[in-house]
Amino acid sequence: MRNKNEVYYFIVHACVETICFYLLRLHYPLMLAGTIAFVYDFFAFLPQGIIGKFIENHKKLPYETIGNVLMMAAVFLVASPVHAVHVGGYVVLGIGNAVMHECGALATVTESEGKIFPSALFVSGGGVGIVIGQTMGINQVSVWFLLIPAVISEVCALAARKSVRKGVYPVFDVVNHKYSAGIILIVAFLVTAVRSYLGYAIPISWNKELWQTILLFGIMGLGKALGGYFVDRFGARRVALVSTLAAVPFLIFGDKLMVVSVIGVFFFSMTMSITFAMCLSVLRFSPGLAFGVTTAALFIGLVPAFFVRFNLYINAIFIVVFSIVCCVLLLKTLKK
Amino acid sequence: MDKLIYALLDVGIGGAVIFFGGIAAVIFIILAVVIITVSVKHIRREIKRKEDLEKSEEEESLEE
Repeated sequence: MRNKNEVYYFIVHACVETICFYLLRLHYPLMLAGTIAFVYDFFAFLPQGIIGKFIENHKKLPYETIGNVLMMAAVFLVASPVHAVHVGGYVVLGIGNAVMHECGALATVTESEGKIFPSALFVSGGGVGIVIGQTMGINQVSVWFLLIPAVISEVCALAARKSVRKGVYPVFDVVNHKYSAGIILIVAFLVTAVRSYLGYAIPISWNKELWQTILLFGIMGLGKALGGYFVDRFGARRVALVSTLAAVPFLIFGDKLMVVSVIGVFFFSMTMSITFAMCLSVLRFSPGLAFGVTTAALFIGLVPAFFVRFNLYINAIFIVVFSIVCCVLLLKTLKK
Repeated sequence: MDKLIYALLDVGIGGAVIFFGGIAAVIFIILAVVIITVSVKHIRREIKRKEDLEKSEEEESLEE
């Protein structure tokens, strides 16, 4: 019977993001809020490739426990009145998050039998955690409640520990071999970075109530998971065409219309599986590194959002132009 | 006199923010460069490994 690592790591991902977003929102709004978010994102996203490679090469360490312990240690550090320690807590939190993500990537890819859906399901769990964590943090729920997701995360992660250390990975092949490995990775990186940036550029002024936030993140998660399923079923190229172009009108005209906007977000989220599958097709012996390429791109994509904000009109132009560019790049580099 | 003291404090604190903020920015840039450089090195190694394997598989099938 195939391991259900994607279910374990869906739960782990939800728990990890619950802890992280609770701590991020607990002290919000603060003058340092933007700095804290940047610091956290830097350490949570950028070094994942290196961390994944390290895990692949040094199998004996208890990474699952290390990741959870780092996040729990961050709870205490973040509570410090000393600013340097407080910010340092978010560094530790980010690294703990990165370790857990890489364990999830390795566990789900190893037992995936060459399908991208397990990894897509794992990634989609994040949205659940973000909503729960943010809600808990904003409402100043007692920090002791974080023990619950921490324990659940540890138990579920340990259930999948053998897969993280197996060292043998299935073959993924969604790319057009006419292009070199470098080109494929650059395209996957760019498309992911664009997706990350557009995540901030999408106009959603309708999102005011908690239930609307739950719906938004739920649809995003559903898009990611179903994107993986559709890639396995219909092929990456077809899904790329639909997910990049179909999203455009819904995203542009959905600023005040929730239903229209969430349809766009759903389509738009489906590209996650495609870009990860592209990286896996190239970096077949190192899924940890492949996952790290996508997370590095996610970070690079959201860096501009920390420093500059454009108006609705300019964002609409970005959505159209970037979506078309991504569509063209994907259609060229994906296998027919 | 009070106004002068407050003005000096403003400049001092503002200067400290720019100074320490600048140091932090430099540290982040250096860290980012190191992380990206190491990641690219590993990626190149993995690509070469895959290409070598594909080459040897091709040679084996030709021999057969």
